[in-house]
Amino acid sequence: MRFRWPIKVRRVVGGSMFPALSPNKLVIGSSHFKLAIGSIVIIGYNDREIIKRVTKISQKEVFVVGDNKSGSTDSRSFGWLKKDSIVAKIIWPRV
Amino acid sequence: MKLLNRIIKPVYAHCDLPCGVYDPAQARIEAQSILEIMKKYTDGLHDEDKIRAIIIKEQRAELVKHHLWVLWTDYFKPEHLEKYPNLHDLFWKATKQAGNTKKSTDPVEGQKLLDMIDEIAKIFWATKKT
Repeated sequence: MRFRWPIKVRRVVGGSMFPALSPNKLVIGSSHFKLAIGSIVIIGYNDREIIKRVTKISQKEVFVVGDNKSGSTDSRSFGWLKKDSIVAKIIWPRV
Repeated sequence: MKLLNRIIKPVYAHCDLPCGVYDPAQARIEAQSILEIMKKYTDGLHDEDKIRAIIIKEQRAELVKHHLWVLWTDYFKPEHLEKYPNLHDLFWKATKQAGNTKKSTDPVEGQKLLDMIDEIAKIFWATKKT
């Protein structure tokens, strides 16, 4: 079994999480997390990782939305995503 | 920094439409044109101007449809529909009405289109406030 490093460091590309996260901002996420409404998560979608804020949680899925609502493509367009597709929850910066 | 950017994987704070600029005024201006053309047509035009008027009215109606579709499919989101459940019906009727203005030179039809766009605009600006 392949070891997966529990800490993820990523660079934000795009402005959908502005003002909390500006483009090029470095973020640190942990793959060991307790999910809550308001958490910012890195989530696998269409063969890449996106970063959004969790606004609704169901038993198996999450609804994620960008903070910059008028400039974000998110669950409002593509619907709920499986909880399994969450890669990490952002632990730094605390926003 | 370049090296750092190469090492650190990107995470996408993504948007399909980076500009995010929408305004029902685009559709309204075209609809206003249609109405004015209809009025001129009804008041009486030379034959050659009548032909031009019909051609231009046809083009404007197509532009109204385009601008409404952009708002409908790109700007409005399911959360707006929850709040304004008549939204789909309104867009459907308005784009239908844009088609009706092609078939008619009666200003009443043009005015109907304008009123429908105004109704959509009201909802649009209400969503901007929230």
